[in-house]
Amino acid sequence: MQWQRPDVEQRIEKAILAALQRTAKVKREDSLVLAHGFDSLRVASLAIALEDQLDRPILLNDWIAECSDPTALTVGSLYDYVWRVLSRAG
Amino acid sequence: MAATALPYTQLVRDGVMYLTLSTPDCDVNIFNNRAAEQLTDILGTLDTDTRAVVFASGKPDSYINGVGLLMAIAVKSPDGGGALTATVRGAYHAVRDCRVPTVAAIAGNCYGCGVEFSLFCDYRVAADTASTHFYMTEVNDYLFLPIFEGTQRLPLLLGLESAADLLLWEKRWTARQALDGGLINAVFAAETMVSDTHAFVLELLGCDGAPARCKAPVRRRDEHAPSEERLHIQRQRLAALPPAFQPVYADGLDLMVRAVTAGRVSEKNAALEIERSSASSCQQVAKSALSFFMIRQATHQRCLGGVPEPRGDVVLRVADDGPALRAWHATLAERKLPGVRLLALGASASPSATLAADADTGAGADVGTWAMHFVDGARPAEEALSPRPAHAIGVLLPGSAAPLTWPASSVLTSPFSHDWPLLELAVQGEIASEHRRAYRLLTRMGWRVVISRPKEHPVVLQALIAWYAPLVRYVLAGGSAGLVDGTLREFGVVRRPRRMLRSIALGPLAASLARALGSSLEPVQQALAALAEPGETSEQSDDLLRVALCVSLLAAAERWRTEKILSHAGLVDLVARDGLDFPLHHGSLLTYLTRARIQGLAQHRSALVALASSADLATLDAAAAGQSEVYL
Repeated sequence: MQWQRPDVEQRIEKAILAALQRTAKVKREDSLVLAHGFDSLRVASLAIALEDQLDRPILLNDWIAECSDPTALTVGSLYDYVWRVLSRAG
Repeated sequence: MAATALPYTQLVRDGVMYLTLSTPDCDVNIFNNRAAEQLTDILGTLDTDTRAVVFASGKPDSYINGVGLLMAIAVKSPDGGGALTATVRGAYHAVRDCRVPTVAAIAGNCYGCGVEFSLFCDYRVAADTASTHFYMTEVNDYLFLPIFEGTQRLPLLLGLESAADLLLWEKRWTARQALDGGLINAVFAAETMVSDTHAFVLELLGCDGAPARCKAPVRRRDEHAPSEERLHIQRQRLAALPPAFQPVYADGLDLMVRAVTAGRVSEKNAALEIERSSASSCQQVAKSALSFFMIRQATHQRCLGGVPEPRGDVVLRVADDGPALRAWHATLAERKLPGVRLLALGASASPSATLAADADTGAGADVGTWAMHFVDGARPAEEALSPRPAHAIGVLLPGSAAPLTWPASSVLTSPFSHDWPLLELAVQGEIASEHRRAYRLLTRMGWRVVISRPKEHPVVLQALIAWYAPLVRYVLAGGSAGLVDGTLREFGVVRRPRRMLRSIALGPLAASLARALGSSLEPVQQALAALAEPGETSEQSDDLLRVALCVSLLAAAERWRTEKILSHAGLVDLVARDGLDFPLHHGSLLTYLTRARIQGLAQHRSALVALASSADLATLDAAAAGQSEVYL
């Protein structure tokens, strides 16, 4: 499937909101830990929601491992990470 | 928008402050920075009327499940863990330094950092329920060392052997076992946990109201350095581990020995623990093991499927004809949960239980009486199912290798034993909410469960055949069982045949393997016997055997996925990990089987003919030509 970046970001935002069980918007610079209370279990929920959006199971460990501190896990860093793995998968 | 609910709520009764942790928007309690900051604030501003502090949980099955593995995944250098965990450590130290007695009132899972938290309290009491377990996850599940003085406080409290059992050797204690082992001070019934804890606190405060402090360590079995004999036993166990696991285990054992030798928690040893914990978290083996946590959690949430907790009582009915079924009844009885009533099939529930179940059904929660009945190929007579259950589950007890006969829409099965942690809930047709509720209940009772949709044989039996077929072929072809053991050890398997086969009914496994291999029964039985008693583990490893094992697992996994027998990739990984002990440090079966690795396996194709079936080789060919990996 040929992905387009805006579409991917929209799907990721939907997945974040599904994991949060909220409808409010999120901002690119939001820290998922500080601004939205994410912990490791919530990240697992996010992985499920992303799978629903992208139709492929996705592991987020490498995304977490890339950050210097869990508080640096932002919405934008997730956009970048998912776009990268989708591009790599082809 | 930040979460606004605070993790802790406060209640004061008779001068005793109850601090109840309930992590917002989460099924379990996580002692994260937010909880740590609030707790530190509360303990720093205790008023003079407070005579004791009790730490309780607001979650039905979780005391503290962890401090958040995000931190462990994020550690990048040996000096990184200290800074990342400073806030939580500050809270733990605030508990240690609290000016009044502190009590951990534990109900539900107490894992890893939860156990460490409780060790900073003066006293620990626990509820006698199926979900109350003490388990050190760090080394056992994630291959990194504890960071909150667990390697120091546990051996000081329990002695080296018991502490090593918990920290290194996968021991999981119930409340009763924790009491016997000296980890906790009292066990109370679930129904009276609150009142009994309160009475316990009032008693320890004494008649004159003077605080009775009991600074850890309260009990020491090793007054001096551990004997060489004890250390030798530990080192022997360590040497039998896969080589990739040994550094973290050796460091953990060394830290425990240092604690017992020092006889106290020294600043130097606590700092060394932080350093070694951080260093171990940075290792690739730990990163891979941690990745499995995410797969497990995501799969668990998939299996739950958003089905809510049942309201009211759940009544389980189990027929009691025959010793096997009575054993199943006894196993369920041991895993009692609040709100779950266990009755004989056909027995009338007490009026209150029946009313509760019926009321729930009427309210649309479609939770009623669940009948779990043993079946041997035939559905029990209708009158035996009276009162009619909302959900009947067949139970296929260990030792059976017969095809599934579907006496109910789902069958609970395990070819291993009642003590084996993995159960399979095999479902005929679509997975419905009633199956998800059964899944939830069984996981609450302490089992690891996979939901499957097999056509003929349970997946767990298929998995065993996939695991043992190449091993048996290897022995039948003249290979040494000791070399099989050495190969599996090198690959990273802890629960090797010499250990696993003790828990399995060998007769049905041998019969199933003989059918799968097209062999007569006797040689297969002999090969299994040799694998169960391999003698000395070889220091050598046969790479072709490892390749054959991976090809066999690949073929099974492909079959389960393409035929939708397992609906999610994570379920394949759970079967491999929990059922077969697929090596923890490889992450998971499907993350291990990358396209590059599959192509590497295919390079051995011509040599594999003696160790793999033609169907498995065809799957290998197709997978090697495939384009993508399972996980993004």
